[in-house]
Amino acid sequence: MKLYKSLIYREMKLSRAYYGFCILFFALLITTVLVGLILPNVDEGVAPGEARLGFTLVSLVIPVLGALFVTRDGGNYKKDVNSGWARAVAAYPVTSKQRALAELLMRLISSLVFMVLGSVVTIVINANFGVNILLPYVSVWMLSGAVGLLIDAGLGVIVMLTRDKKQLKKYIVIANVAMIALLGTVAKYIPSFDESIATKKLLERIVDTLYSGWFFLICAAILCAVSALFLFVYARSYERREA
Amino acid sequence: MTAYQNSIEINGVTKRYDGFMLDNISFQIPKGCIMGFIGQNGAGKTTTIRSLLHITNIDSGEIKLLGLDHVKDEYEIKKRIAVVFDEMPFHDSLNAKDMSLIFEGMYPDWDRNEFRSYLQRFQLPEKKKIGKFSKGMKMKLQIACALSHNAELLVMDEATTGLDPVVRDEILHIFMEYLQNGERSVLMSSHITSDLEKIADMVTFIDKGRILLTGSKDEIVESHGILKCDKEKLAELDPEDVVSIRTNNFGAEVMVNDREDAAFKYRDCVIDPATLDDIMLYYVHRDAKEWS
Repeated sequence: MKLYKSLIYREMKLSRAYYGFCILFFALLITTVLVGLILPNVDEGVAPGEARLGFTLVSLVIPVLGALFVTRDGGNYKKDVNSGWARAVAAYPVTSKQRALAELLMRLISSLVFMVLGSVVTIVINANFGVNILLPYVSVWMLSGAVGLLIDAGLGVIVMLTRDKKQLKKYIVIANVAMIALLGTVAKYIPSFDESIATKKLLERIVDTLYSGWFFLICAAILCAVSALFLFVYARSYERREA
Repeated sequence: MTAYQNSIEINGVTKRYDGFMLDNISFQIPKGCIMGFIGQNGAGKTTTIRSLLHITNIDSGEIKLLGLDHVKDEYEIKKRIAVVFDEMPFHDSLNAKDMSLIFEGMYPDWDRNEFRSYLQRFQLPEKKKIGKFSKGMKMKLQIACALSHNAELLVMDEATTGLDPVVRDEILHIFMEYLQNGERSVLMSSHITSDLEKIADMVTFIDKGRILLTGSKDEIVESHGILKCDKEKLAELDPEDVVSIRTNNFGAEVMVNDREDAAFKYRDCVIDPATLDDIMLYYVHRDAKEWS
């Protein structure tokens, strides 16, 4: 336990600037969402059904973006390579699995802290409009966090496959092009939203899903699976010895 | 804890790179000794150190540290050894206090008070960012970290290179203190042979991936000598006695590998004592035999 405390302390210390940026970004995001939701509705009031639909969809931008940022590598990988730590740590009594687990724990802990901080939005919305969005907020946070971890695990695989900086750049370009192509393909299947009743019904079904207990469980399962994958990839990546 | 006689045992280690090879190297460091590991840049010192720390995999051979297998018992070994690198591997934004907190979790025997006392002794500030330290201060911080967890073996890779003589002397003095209980050993790679002349008990000389000499420093230095003669006398020398010959306008300086024997054989020649620097220089040119 003492070992993990030390490793996490080191990661946190090196990530201070990144988390500072995350706090600013997060504060700005929360303020924008709250101002955008509360100001137009405070005087006019809003129908309970519409409040649930609108508030849920708009406020979920906080966990989507927040978790995605907080679970990413804040530049520590590069810092460790540049300072020589990545090479030197092989001479210290810490295994690659322990390093990978510490890395994962740090990201999950910071993600949890930011999730709790961001949950102020759910309290404000509940207090003002009687809509409790806590369950979808947590579910989407887990799902988005899993995506953040998955991106870094993918980068970890790329780093493992590369032998030099030039090759690394090439693989990252290929990965980015593949990602854009994938997003483009997915975008084709997203239905266009309009004012029609069909669209409204579709959105209601989406929101109902977000509020369901099974969606929460699926998100938790995805986060667990991606965490395990992240652990595996990072442990393998740290295990790499010089050829 | 395993009882052991040799802190490091390297037997027949081979490691092939593109254009370089550690060729079947073997040497031992008995417990309580300080060994100087010398050789010119690119000779294979760092590769040997990386191999024994299992930073790089070896192709064949066996390495034991503190009586334990360097791969199978890697993490047990690493709790009991300390390594000082030529370049500081700690991040610039951290400070000495952070390093203490980090190593405290890694090493079960980390002694915070010992670390603080080294910081005071080296006059290193606890809270100043490492990025603002001078090169000497950075090296001292690495050494303070290395000596604060009761390590039985200290491995140093070119750690005194680039430091001024005052700092180097201070560091060497600390190593002497560290070795005083007779249970600890040091492997110190360097091409500054004057440092090793001062403190090493043993010397291993590596060149082009091969061990040329290994053993007691005093025996190695005493057995070698520089024979001075004219060019006509050169023809009379037994090639078996000669490491290499340095010629100049007036004659030749010949490194002989058995000074006592050479003194009997070549009574009309002057044989001067050799330094580690001389030995390294003449052995590096052993293939050319004659050089100037």
